[in-house]
Formats: sequence, structure tokens, C-alpha cells
Amino acid sequence: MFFQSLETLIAKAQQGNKRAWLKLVKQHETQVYNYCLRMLSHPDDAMDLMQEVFISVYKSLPSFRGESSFNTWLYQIVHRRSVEYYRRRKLHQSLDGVPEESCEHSELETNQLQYQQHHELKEMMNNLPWEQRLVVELKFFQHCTFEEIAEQLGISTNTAKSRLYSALGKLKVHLEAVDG
Amino acid sequence: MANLDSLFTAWLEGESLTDEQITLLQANAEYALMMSNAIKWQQQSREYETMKVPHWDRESSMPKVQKSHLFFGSGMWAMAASIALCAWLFMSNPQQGNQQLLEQVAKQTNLLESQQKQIDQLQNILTAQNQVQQQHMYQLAKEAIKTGRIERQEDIASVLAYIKTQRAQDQAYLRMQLNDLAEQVDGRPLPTVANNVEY
Repeated sequence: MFFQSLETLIAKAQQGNKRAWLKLVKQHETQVYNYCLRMLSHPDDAMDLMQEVFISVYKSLPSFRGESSFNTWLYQIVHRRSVEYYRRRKLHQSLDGVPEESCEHSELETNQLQYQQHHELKEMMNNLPWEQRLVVELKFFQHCTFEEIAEQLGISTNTAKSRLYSALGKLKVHLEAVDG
Repeated sequence: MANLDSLFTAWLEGESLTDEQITLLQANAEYALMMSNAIKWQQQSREYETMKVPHWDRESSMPKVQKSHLFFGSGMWAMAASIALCAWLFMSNPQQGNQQLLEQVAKQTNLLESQQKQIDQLQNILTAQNQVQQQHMYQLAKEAIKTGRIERQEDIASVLAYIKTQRAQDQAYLRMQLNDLAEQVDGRPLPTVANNVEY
């Protein structure tokens, strides 16, 4: 198939074109999956959340009018779904009590350095409350400005700032605790 | 302090600060720590290696959207319309509306009762039809088994008759050959027959 612009794919998917939709999913799944993985720290949870996100996007796609960029719109859905998922998940068990990655995801373990890095990131993320985790994700991994963070999360710029500052303060406490 | 805050925010937003401004931030213990933590996060982000998405069924992200209008298929429109009418009557003229409302409610109740009766009748008919259909199915199955059995018996009988005929023909043929042989033996001298010599 020839190259199709994002707008074309979206328009086709909105008309119910299955191939266009699947292509759209393929184009965005890696970034969504990695977002979910960073936020939830567990591959199975990340997969579940990613699936929920794309189901939600599929259902809402007819209402997408292109007023914001597709990525912004997509991430708004991702945030909403992730908050819901986290709350639901929290009801069943604390995220700290989640079992380690299963053998299916052993590609992580094959690269010790990568594993170490992911493990460290997981520790840092898990140490933060959900709201602060979201702001950290948006600031440092999505490289959003405070205004964009505020828009994405539906909060004020000052709240976004104070949440990030708290997160940075938390990290200090956590690192001190780790260092002993 | 406000100056430090705006400096720190600017730094977080990616603006480049002068050495002097950075020194100013680092001189404050609180901001210095936040800065170093932010650097730690930035480093995590830079070094983050994107994970491959495990194999998954992308088509599962396309749920079949249920058609909501199906809900209004069986008399729900009538119900909604009558409720709307009642509300309108009540809102437009409360005193007269009460009377009309009561009438409307009575009508609605009658309508619902008659609908319920119809539904009951239809259910009875359906149950009866199901029973009849089951009986027919049972009869058909019995008939099929019976027919099968008779056909099998007829087939076996015809095979037996064929075997009998074949055997009778074989026996007749053997009998003829034996007769021929007997005639040949009768016409030969005895020593030839005893030594089995060709005549």
C-alpha cells in the first residue's frame, strides 16, 4: 500500500475502513504501549490498558473533528483510560504487590542493562502518587510544556507545576531512602 | 524566591539559562535538589529504550458498536411519546393538565395491559408451536430410522439372493464338468485311467 497521511488514515477509519484503522493502530501502538508500561510498570497491565485505549479511541473516532492534533486527542483518551484503569486496579490490589514480569516478556531480561534501566524507572515511578506520575510522564517523556500538561489533564498550569515540584521532592526522599 | 521559581520553570520548559542563573538556582538547597532530580528524570527519558509491543490482536480494538435505536423497536416510542405528552400537558396547564394527565395515564395503563395480553398470547402460541415442532421432529427422526432399517433389510436380502443364484450357477457348472469327466473316464481302458495317462 502506498504512503497515506495521518489525516487520510483518520478520515478513512472514520468511514469504517478496517485497514485504515488497523494501520492507524499500528502507527501509534508503540508509543501508547510504552506510555502504559511506564505508568503501570507491568507488561500485562500495559497490554490491557493499551487495548482499552484503542477500543475507546475507535468508539470516539467519529467525534474527532481535528480541532486539536490527533496525538493530543489520543493522549487525552490515554490519560482518562489510564486513570480509570489505575483506580480499578487499585481496588483489587496495590500496584506494589504486582508480581514480576512473566517469562513471556523475557526479552527484558536478555538485556541486563536495559532491564536495570527499566527496573530503576519502575522504582522511581512506583514511588510517586498517580497524579504526579502523570505529570512526570508528560513533562519528561512526552516533553510537554506546563500549559500542554494542564490542557491534557484538565488542570491549571499552577497545579501542574506544583504536582511536578512535589514529584521532584518525592524523588529526593526516595533516593535518600534507597541510598540508606 | 519568586525569581528562583520563574527561573526553575523556565529551565524546566527547556529555555537556556546563563551560568549565573544556574548558579543562583544551585545556591538554593531546595531548587538544587529539584534540579538534580529533574536531571535524573531527563536522563531516564533520554536513555529509555522503547519496548516492542508484544503480539496482540489489533482487530480486538474494533468492538461491534451496538445500535441503540434497536431499543426503541417494540413500542418504546409510544411510551416515550405519551410520557412527553403528559409532561407537556402538565407543564402547559397544571389545573386542566391534572385531569388530562389522569386520563392519559388511564389510557396508557389500558394500552399497556392490552399489550401485555398480546405478548402473553404470542408467548402461548410460540410455546404451542414449539411443542408441535418437537413432536414433528420426533416423528421424522423415527420415520428416518425405520426407513433406514427396512432399506438395510432389503439390501441384505438382495445380496443373499444374489449369492444363492451365484452358488446355484457354480454348482450347475461344476456338475456339467463332472459329467463330462465321467463320460471321458467311462470311454477309456482301465490301465490308462489308473496311471493317469493322457489319452
